[in-house]
Parts: sequence; structure tokens; C-alpha cells
Amino acid sequence: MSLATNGIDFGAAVPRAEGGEPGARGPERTHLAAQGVTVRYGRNAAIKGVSLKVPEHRVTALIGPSGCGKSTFLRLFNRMNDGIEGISIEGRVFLYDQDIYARDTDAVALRRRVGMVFQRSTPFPKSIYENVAYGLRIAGVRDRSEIARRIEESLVGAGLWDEVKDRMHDSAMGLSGGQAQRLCIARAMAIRPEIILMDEPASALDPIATARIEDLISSLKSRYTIVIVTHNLQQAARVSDYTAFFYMGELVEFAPTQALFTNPGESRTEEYITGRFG
Amino acid sequence: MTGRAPHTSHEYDRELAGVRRLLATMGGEVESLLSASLAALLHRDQDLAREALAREERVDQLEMEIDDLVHRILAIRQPVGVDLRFLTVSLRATTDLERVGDIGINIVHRAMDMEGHAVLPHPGLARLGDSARAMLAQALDALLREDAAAALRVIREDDAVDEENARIFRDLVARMGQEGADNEALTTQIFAAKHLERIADHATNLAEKVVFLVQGRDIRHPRAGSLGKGG
Repeated sequence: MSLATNGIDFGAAVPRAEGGEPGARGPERTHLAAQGVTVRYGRNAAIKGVSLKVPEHRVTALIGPSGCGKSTFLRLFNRMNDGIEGISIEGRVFLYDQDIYARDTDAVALRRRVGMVFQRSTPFPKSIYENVAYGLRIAGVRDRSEIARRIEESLVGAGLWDEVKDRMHDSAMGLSGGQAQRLCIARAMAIRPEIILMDEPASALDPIATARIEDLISSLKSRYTIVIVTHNLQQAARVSDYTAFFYMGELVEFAPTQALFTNPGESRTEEYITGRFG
Repeated sequence: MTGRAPHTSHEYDRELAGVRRLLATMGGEVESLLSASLAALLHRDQDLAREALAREERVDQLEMEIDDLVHRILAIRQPVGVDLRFLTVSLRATTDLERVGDIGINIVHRAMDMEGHAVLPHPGLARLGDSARAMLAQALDALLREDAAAALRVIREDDAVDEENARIFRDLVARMGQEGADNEALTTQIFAAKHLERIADHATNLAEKVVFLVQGRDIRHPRAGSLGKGG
């Protein structure tokens, strides 16, 4: 299998073809790519020489035990690691052909293209309306009717509109955990990113709210490329097209999710997903 | 036995070991049933016929017990990887084993059909019975030891069984045309040979599942597999 590389060809890991049949969906373009990336916090390497290509309009899950580097790796794609003291990043990271860590790359502009949803929902202490409008205004959208239209569009997209349309000016702090998380997804979607990074988006939610988030992820992938970090292996198996298994900062295996969960190619992956670890 | 590291959850290991133990027990029961039914057919032994019939209920019980345990593990453990393959293979293996048990009972019925007939069992039936029984034993052993090479050897033996069955069929049909032939008894033996050939087929199915369990490779229908992948 070969993913279209957009001119980037550096032997990065692409998911192995067997089982998941990516070829059946037609050629896939690489949206994000890491090339020989090493991330150190001081002397400790959290990521060790990882190369990986994230296909466009697919859900890619990053799994691995705590401390394996998967969240650090996720945050590379919108430079959320930048402000961390003592961090050093080697290698290159691309969004299509654009080098994310090039001197002339504007991190704020990058984050408009690469949105992020965190483990804990982070609604602002403002109204539901203002929570979504805030990001739009920062992004330079001034027209009130355009803002209203984009708010509705993103709340519909996040599956929250019907639940909040009659109380748009109530405080977002009154939403349930699952609703607040979907509000955060709507907020990320409002500025129309190409990519949404999700760091354990459902880990603080009950099973029903989790199922709604998972449904939402499946419905979003026709419009967005999604990269999700999850500790919940069943969630990775349910929502993702491709899964990357990280262990101690290394990428052990990257494969179509179906293949990785039924017949992994690496014994370390097999041990981890079947619960034979530690 | 499998050489894999234990699960973090020891209870999970115990549950999987329980499935393996029950499969071994069910396999043993089916082998005993088959031996008894073959002896009933070849030696016209009424006691062995009754023994085979008595074992059927235990085989059916074990099938349900294994299925129940596997369903419970699937629900509470949500297995993946080799554990998922082992459990799905176990579910399907019980179906094959239960069918072999049923066919063993059919053989007992053929033995009963032969009562009062002077025609001796065709000598090929003993050879066919030995082959089918050996294939079943080897497939079960391959399953419990997770030995794909042994499973592939079982699969290769199936053609010889088919040929033996065809030889017996031709021979018995030829005898039917002879003066004074006991066509009813000869037809019964044709059915008995077909039963044994079907047991070899189930042993082959079991062996194919072992390859899937060990290697993650579905070798059942190579042509269908390539069609399913868009040529």
C-alpha cells in the first residue's frame, strides 16, 4: 500500500495494508506526517525517532500505556508542546507540505487549521453562545449573522443543537459533562479546522455520553482528519480507521485498526492489547 | 501450553483456561463416541452402540457449556488479538465437534440397520474409520497445542479420505448389480462411508480454524477470499 505523500517521502510509517483494506477506499492522501521526530523533556526522550503518516479524512488512534509518549506526539501537530520548559524537538512535522516547525510557520494560524479537544471539557464561564462565538471573533469573524450561522452549524455538527437551541444564552457551566465536551468540539469546529486532535475526549464521561462522542467522531471524519489519543482500547477499535501503538516513546506498530486488534503484527502490540502487560 | 505471557488479570487467564479444558473434555467425549460407534459398525457390538448413544447427551451439554462460557467472556472481557481468535475459534470448534458427535450417532444407526443382514462390512470402512478418527484426534491436538504445522498436515490428509470413500462407493455399487446382492445392506454401507468422510471434513474444518487461531490467516475458501478483496 502506498499513501499519497504530497512530495514527502521519507519512509515514514504508513499503516500496513492487510485486513483493513485501505485500498478499497481509494488512494489516501497524507494530511499530517512526522519524520524522525524525537522529543526530549530535558534529558529524557519522550518520543524516539518516530515517523508516521496520518491519512486525510480518517480517524487515527494513538494507543499505549501511560507515559508512552502518545499525548506528547499528538500535541506536536498543533505545537501545543511549544511552551513547555526544557522541551526540545528534533525531526520534522508536516501538515501537507508545510513544515509545522519551520521558522515562518505561525503557530496561531496553524492552530486554526488543527483544532484540539482535551480530556476534561473546558467550557469558558460564559454563555453557550459566547463559548462558540469567542473563538470565531478571535479568528476575525465580525459579522453577527455569520457568527450566528457558524454557531448553529457547529452545534448541529457536534450533535448538541437540539439540546441547547432554546437556552443559548444560559451559562455553559450548567451543561452536563458530555454536553460540555460536545460544546468544546463545536467550539473547535466553528473556526473550520481541517484536523481535530482529541486527547482522551471521553475519559471523563459516562458510557452514554461516551457513545455520543464516539458517534460524533464517526460522523465528523468525512469533513475532518481526526487524531485521537485514548486509553480505552475498545474505543480505539470502535472509532478509528488506523491505530498506532506507542511504547516507551517508540512507535511499535501502525496498522489498519481491524488488523491491529484481530491479528497484530508485533508481539508487543499483542501483549498490550490483550492485557498481558505488567 | 501456549507460551504466551499471562494476562494482568489472572481471572481472565482462568476463564480462558476453562474454555481450553472444556474443549479438551468435549473433544475426548466425541473421540470416545466415535470409537464406540465405529466398533458398533465394524464388529456389530450392541454394548458399544449403547455407549455411543449415551455419550451424545454429554457432548451436547459440553457444547452449550462452552458456548455459554465463551459468550460470558466476550461480554465481560471484550477480547482482542489472539484471545479473540481463540474464543471465536472455540465457538466454531464446538459446532464441528457436536456435528461429529451427531454423525457418530448416525453411524450407530447404520450399525443397527445392518442387524439381521449377512453382508460383512466393507474392509475399506475400517480404513476410512481409522483415517477419520486419526484426523479428528490430530486436529484436536493441534487446536489444544496451537500447532499450525500439525493442522496443515491434517488438511492434506482429507483428499486421501475422499478417494477412499469414492473407492468404497464404486465397489459397493458394483456389488449391487450382482446376483443375490443385499442392496439394502450395501446402501447402508455407502451411507456409513459417507458419514466417515464427513467426519474427516469436520476434522479438516477444525484444522483450518487452528491455522486462523495461530496465524490469523483464513485459509478456508481461498477463492472467496480473493473475490472479497476486489480481485
